[in-house]
Amino acid sequence: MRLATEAVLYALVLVLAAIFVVPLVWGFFSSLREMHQGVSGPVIPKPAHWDNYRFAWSGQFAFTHYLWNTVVLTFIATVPAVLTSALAGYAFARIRARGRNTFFILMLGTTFIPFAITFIPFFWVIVKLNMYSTRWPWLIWGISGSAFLIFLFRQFYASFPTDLDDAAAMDGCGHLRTFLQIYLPNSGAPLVVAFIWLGTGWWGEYILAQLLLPDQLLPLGPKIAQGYYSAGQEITLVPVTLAAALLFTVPPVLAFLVLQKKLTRGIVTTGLKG
Amino acid sequence: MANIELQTIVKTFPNGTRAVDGVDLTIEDGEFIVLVGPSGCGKTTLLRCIAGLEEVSDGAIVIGGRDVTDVDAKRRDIAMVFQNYALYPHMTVRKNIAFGLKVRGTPRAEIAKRIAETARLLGLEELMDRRPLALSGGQRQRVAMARAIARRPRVYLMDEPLSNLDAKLRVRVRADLARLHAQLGVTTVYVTHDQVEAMTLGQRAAVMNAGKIQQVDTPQALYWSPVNLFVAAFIGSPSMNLVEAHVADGSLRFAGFSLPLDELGADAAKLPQHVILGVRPEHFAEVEDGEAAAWSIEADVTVEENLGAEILVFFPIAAEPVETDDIVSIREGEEQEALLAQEARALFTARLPSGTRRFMGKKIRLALNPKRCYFFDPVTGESLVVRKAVDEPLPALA
Repeated sequence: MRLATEAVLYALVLVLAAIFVVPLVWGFFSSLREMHQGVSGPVIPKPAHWDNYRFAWSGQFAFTHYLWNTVVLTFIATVPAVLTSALAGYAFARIRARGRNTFFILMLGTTFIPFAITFIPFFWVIVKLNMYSTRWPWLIWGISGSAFLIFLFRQFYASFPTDLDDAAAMDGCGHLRTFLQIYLPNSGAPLVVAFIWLGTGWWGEYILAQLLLPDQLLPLGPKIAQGYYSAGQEITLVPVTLAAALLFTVPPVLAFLVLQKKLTRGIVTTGLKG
Repeated sequence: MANIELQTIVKTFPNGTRAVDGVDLTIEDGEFIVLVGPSGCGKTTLLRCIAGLEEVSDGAIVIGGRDVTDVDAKRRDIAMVFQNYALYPHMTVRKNIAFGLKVRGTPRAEIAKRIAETARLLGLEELMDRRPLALSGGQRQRVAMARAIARRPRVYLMDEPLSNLDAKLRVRVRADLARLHAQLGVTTVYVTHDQVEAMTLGQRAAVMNAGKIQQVDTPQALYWSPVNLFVAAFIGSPSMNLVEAHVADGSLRFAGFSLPLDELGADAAKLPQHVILGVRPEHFAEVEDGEAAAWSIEADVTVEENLGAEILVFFPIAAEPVETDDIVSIREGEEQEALLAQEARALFTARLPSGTRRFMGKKIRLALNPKRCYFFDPVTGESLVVRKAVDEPLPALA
């Protein structure tokens, strides 16, 4: 009976895994087709056209320029956001203040407001502040933090032994120093969760960049989505576009592989696991 | 170094709990004082108030002549050792010790000198580059002490620093602490619920209950001359035997026994009709067959514990256990640890010299020394007779 239950569970897991893996595998094989061929023909192309990757990297536009744009936008939107969220999480977990819980609930409530509602007012503010066609909005998003990450850090810090705060206070630390020198260095697991979660989100961000940035500041996502074309033709080179898309996913996948252990620990220690 | 004056300290938490209720206490410069009491008596809250980790609701704290009531913890020049050591897990032993000095802007050379001195004093030289996770409980405890000592503050506060150590190590570290205090001579306030620590470490001990100090005195005075039922029941291990008694026809009667009052001398006149009689376990003596004893009782021994040098015998008496509020507050913590439900009858303990004799299941006769018996008012709990410390060493404590 137990064996049968396990077999069913494994089968279910395999099906779910396949749903996520099959498109990637299909994309990989399709990226090796002849660049003008489209996606028709056998699943595994023969011969494999590895040239598509070289063309994606250096053929139609300066891949590295837009890759750098992606790095910059991801950095300025992620690093400040993780730090300010950790700081806010510390404050919600540790600083006794009137109305703390009410503010926390209000802050959490903002996660339920759909982006479509806030985007137009935000766009208007960006234009009024002369930040249209600049990277400043990304930095502002960064500094503003993330309600979900604040929740994550608050959960993690709430489980910290309060003796550490007391010891730091006796050693002469105020709240900021306690956060920076005691809490932050011991936040490896939630920091990894936060960087991966937010970083991958900004890495693949499409709509905001497409709407707010000029071509020279665009990140790779929207740039690749415009498609690769052969010289003088209006036909999209699907295998090359897929090759570029796969190249684009390499950095976040590498980050995940390197930080996988810490990520799992972070998910457990921050109480995100059900 | 500095003296500490606690002037009518009150601490009420936002939920209305009055953890500290008007404590007045002066701790002398260089003194080692122990705050002792059962769980929830307010001793740790009082310590945290002195540290500046809790704001007092009323009253004043003066350290070295300076009113620090509204001064931040970091500006009070106090170091604290915590129950769980509170070592910074990401720092090595060296960095843990140096951290407080660094934060206070101590010059590098001075920090290095103090680290070396403290490490030598506490035997930490080999452990300086390890992190707390790689240390044993005893080593962590020493690092926590080192962190406090390196700061060279005017006052040390210690919050049950031995409670996480095993029994054997606790005895050793207790002795080390006493030696360290003798060496450094810094004013020290030590909190514990363990009355053995209070008896062995403190030059004076303050016994607390329900946020109030019941008695402050030397450990010997607390043991021999408790001012009330709470102190009498709390100090001593095994604790004092207590039973309700009444005075009638020139006798003290309890549990079917009748003892002639004239043996008490002048103290007999101080006793009201109802009293609580207290007898320390070591104040029983076995009466041999044919021997006469004016004050003696029969005991059916149900349990014996042979401790080597002495033997503890337990026997029920035909009376209910004393259940005043004070006693209940002491027992509350203990009963959670008890294996069996409490008996309806009071269980007495006698400490007798050890030998080859077995007492278990036997009926013996035990004499009481009237001059070593304590009497308490059953309503107020106050001691009704004065007992001076006797000129003999304290009995060994468990």
